[in-house]
Amino acid sequence: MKPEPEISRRGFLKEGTSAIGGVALTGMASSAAGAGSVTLTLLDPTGAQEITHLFAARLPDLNGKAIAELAVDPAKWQPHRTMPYIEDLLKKQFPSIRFIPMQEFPMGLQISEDRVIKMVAARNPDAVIIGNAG
Amino acid sequence: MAATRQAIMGQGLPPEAPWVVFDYPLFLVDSDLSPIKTNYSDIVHALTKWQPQNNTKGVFNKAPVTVTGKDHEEALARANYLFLKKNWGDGLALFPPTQSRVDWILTGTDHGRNEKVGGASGKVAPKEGILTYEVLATCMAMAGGRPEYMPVAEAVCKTIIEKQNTLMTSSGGAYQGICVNGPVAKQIRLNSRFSLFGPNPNHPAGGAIGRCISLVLMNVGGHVAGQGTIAEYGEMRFTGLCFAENEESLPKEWTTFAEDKFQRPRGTSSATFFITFLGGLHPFVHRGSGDEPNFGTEMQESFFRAAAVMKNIWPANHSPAPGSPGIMFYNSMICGNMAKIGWTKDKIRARLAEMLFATAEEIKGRTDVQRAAAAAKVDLSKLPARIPMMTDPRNINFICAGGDHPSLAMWLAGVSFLGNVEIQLPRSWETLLAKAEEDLGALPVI
Repeated sequence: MKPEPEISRRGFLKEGTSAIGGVALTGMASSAAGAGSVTLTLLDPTGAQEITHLFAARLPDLNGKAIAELAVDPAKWQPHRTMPYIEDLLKKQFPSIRFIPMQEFPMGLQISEDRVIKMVAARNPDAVIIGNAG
Repeated sequence: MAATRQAIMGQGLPPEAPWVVFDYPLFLVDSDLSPIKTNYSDIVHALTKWQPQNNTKGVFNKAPVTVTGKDHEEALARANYLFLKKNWGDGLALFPPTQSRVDWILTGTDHGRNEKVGGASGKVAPKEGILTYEVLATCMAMAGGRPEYMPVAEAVCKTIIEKQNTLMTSSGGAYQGICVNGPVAKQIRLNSRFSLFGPNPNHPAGGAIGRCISLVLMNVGGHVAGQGTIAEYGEMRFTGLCFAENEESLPKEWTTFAEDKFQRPRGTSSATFFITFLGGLHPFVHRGSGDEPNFGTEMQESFFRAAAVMKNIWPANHSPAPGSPGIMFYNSMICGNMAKIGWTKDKIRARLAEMLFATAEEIKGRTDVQRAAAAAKVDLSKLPARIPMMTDPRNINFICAGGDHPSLAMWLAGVSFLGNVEIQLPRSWETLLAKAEEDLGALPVI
């Protein structure tokens, strides 16, 4: 990609035959743009993204499985009510399912910290339910 | 859900998840839980059958984009429309981050464009995009910044990356602040006086640096409204606070903020990055009605007015508390006047702290305090007449800054100091400053 010549802050904002106009017309010749047009190439400000982990395979049957619970908040968003409710529903369909309650782990924004993730992994659950937030 | 997506990306996972979405009322106090039963099959599906769309690990780089217009004016407009469509902007007009402009900004650092800022992962929470010097320069270019602003921005970003603070993702009124100490501040025209937190064409650096940091947080960290942050009001987030301490007008016997808080030797340039999360700036009237018998009385009366706003953010305390850290801004005129009659920073701290208390009468009827007291097994009937709210006066931090006028002073409440980093200058520093003088004129007198 051909680098664009330096453009001063004030020059960029000038009308007519400013530095940017001259620059852009030069650039136009190498672009697919039409006559008299200006093309600006802009760098992406979002940064690269690294994917280091993939999602675990799903569990074909929840019977006999251990499900850990992680709460983003102990009470404000009602996980102390919704988690037990979900537990009851799952137990009806999968009688031998087990739960590691949210109270056995730190609660709050800290659940994304490595130390909490290690605590969860140490309990060797088959799956984790995280809530409630969005 | 969008905020959760950012958090998931921050864990190194693809931007998706087996989530089950419920309407907001489910999460309110005493809510109807039956929607969970209605959507129960979705929960089972998420645990047993859901399949991700992305199954590839690796670093995914972003390619440049192009815009075309019939002339440079239209191209500029279209670039800005594109920023908005891509959620790259803050809603105000931005400079196009062309290769040449980014290259120019990069002359403000000796680091390579592909180096990660801070030397480690370079990841900005919660989305954990990777901040290289080129990406930082891109954000600086968009913000209308200049190369000589890069050392301050770099120092701030080192703290952001190291601390991984996610307070600004929450619904609260958190926003970011930068305080620069040392000679760099004046060299780059960073404001320490009139319109300290506002526009000042003679001191353009704060707006551009602050905006650059906002763009880093939004673009690289994912702090996009309703997606990476659920801040309800998002106050001050266009630029945050970015200012310098007015060191040259500080009373001789007073230390600078960086000396006080971080033991930085005077004359060292450093950038402190902080987040305020309890409603931010609280101005109060410093100067009285003018009928005070002497200056000392005026000072004492000003402390009462200061204490009134400092108490304004009183949480549900029922017992003595160390207090929440904050910053007291006094301009150099007020600092000088205080120093003349023997007030030191420690003496002011102690006086303000002793004025911060709650009474049993104030607590009476506050059911939130009553519940907290009951949980802590505190007998409210046996409380002392005064319950100290700031037992650790060191939580009152002073910065000498603001226009030299006696009317107002300012309390910045609920401050979390995330770090103070020494500012590293590039080898071409003097050349950059000379170019700035050529572009912007001589350094402003005030």
